[in-house]
Amino acid sequence: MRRNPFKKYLGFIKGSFLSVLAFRIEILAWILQDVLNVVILVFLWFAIYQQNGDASINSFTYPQMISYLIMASLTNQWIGNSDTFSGVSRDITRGDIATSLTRPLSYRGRYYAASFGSLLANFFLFFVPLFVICQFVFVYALGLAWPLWYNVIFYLLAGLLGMTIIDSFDFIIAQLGFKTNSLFGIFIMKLALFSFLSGAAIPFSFFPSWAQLFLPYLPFGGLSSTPLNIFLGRFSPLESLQWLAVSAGWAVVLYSLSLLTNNLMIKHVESVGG
Amino acid sequence: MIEVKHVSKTFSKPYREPGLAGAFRTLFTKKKIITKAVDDISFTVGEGEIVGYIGSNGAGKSTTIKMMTGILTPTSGEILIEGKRPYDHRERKTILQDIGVVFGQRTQLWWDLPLRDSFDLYRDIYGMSQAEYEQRLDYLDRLLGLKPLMLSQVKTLSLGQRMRADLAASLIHNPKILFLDEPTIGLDVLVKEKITEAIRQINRDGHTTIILTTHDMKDIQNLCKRLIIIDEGHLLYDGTLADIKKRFGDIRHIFVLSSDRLDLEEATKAFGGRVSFVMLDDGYLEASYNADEIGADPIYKFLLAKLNVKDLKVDETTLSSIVRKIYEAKSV
Repeated sequence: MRRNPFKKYLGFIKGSFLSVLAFRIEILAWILQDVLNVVILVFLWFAIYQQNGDASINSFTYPQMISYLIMASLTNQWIGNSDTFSGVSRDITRGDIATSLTRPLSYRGRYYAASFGSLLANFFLFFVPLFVICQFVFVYALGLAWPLWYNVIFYLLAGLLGMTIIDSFDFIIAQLGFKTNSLFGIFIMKLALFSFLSGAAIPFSFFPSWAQLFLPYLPFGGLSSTPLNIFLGRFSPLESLQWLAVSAGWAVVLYSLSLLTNNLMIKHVESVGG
Repeated sequence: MIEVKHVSKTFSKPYREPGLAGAFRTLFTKKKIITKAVDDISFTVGEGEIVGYIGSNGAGKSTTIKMMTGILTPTSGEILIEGKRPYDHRERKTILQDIGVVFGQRTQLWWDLPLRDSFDLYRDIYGMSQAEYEQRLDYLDRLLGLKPLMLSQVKTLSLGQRMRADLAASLIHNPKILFLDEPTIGLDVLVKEKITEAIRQINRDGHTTIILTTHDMKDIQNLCKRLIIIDEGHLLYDGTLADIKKRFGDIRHIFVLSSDRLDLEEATKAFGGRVSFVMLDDGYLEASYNADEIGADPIYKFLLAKLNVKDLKVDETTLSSIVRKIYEAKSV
């Protein structure tokens, strides 16, 4: 009957793209805060490397460490800024899930499409310009090599998978709103946990050896560690593909899980109300 | 066509005791409070009808609307919209193309974006062609005056503007059935008139079936021929507006302001109980009578003879006074 079942989600991609544009000043303020964070980390690591005396710690030289941290922050900017968590929890507390059921589309699909829209907006509006500037800094100030073209492509792929993983996590966690009123606390906890377990705060090679055995195989690695190591050329192409496969596996598993909880939630709403 | 057949809906809530100790105890009990929000309700609404669905707060109106729109599943009984159950996952998909829903206290528009973007979104969701969409938007603009709002962010609209936009958003796909849950709540008189006029026009032009819940009896009087009243989940009345007025009689009210006092008991006796006298808070004396049983003449004469009348008003029964009586008596 309908020509293209995905066409209806295009509207959400476009809409959330436009929403990001509407909030560009607010987002700039967030980015400034990230920049401040990174500046503090740069000084912190500078002190650590000076104290240490060695050129590299856990296989990271100082310039590599700095580029890792900056890229971690930039990566989070484009893959981790969806509205899913706040949107779903808002829908739950206000009871708007009910109204959304009166429109012929998937609630989960709608949020995923919206996340993809804000990913595109964040990517073109903030990531690309900042990324270009940072590359010049990496090459001319830190003496690093230009990134390889295939690593850039793998990085973008890893980013898309990472976004799917975060978005599905956010969607699932937000549903705790049915059980608790302290979603904000859960949100803060989630941020801290993700930044730690994803390798955004410190590279996995800094973790104890027993943790390094399994940490990369958890879904969190797909958010930072995998894309960053790919981008910085720390993986061979074959290794990159292997880690991409791990992320892809998690993306599929978590997206399916989010679909499942979505259906359970709708059943719950249908029997008890929003 | 909407068929509601012996529909009931019960909710169970965990039992919560008051106080700190109670809150703690609640953690360990499995006691539940079961409330029956809707209890064995049946009615049928034909194509092109406008039905007022009313009841006091908590009577079960919204629950019924939610079941008819597929948001809630009935505990027992069955609802069929064009022969399909709206709360069934598979059947819902086909029904949603045919219904539009407005919840007066909620918005379905994209908050941070210009209004036009929300409409574009719905065009895509319902898979409308551009030509079809433009034509529909033109029609809705003529009814609701949307053009000046199109470029404003939804969050900057006033409540009245937003409600007009929300109504339009629920009609963009030209649904066969429109559910309106308190569409005029909190609106000023002018916007209310505009909205009721638009609803009437939509019903006339598209032969759209409309189910309307409201607390404003003027809305009902302006729009509906048929009225369904529920209370505490039970169906109290289902019939025409004219019928219910007749059933309650042609009650008239005379209001008199006077400095003199009237012995109410004596006055009631004088008319053999056919006229009831009540002293109102604002100093007026209200005499109510059924115009089918007694004429106005003796009552006026009586009042003018007994009292030094400063002011006098006459009023006929309003729907809201009938409804108030029904809510109080819990029966028709």
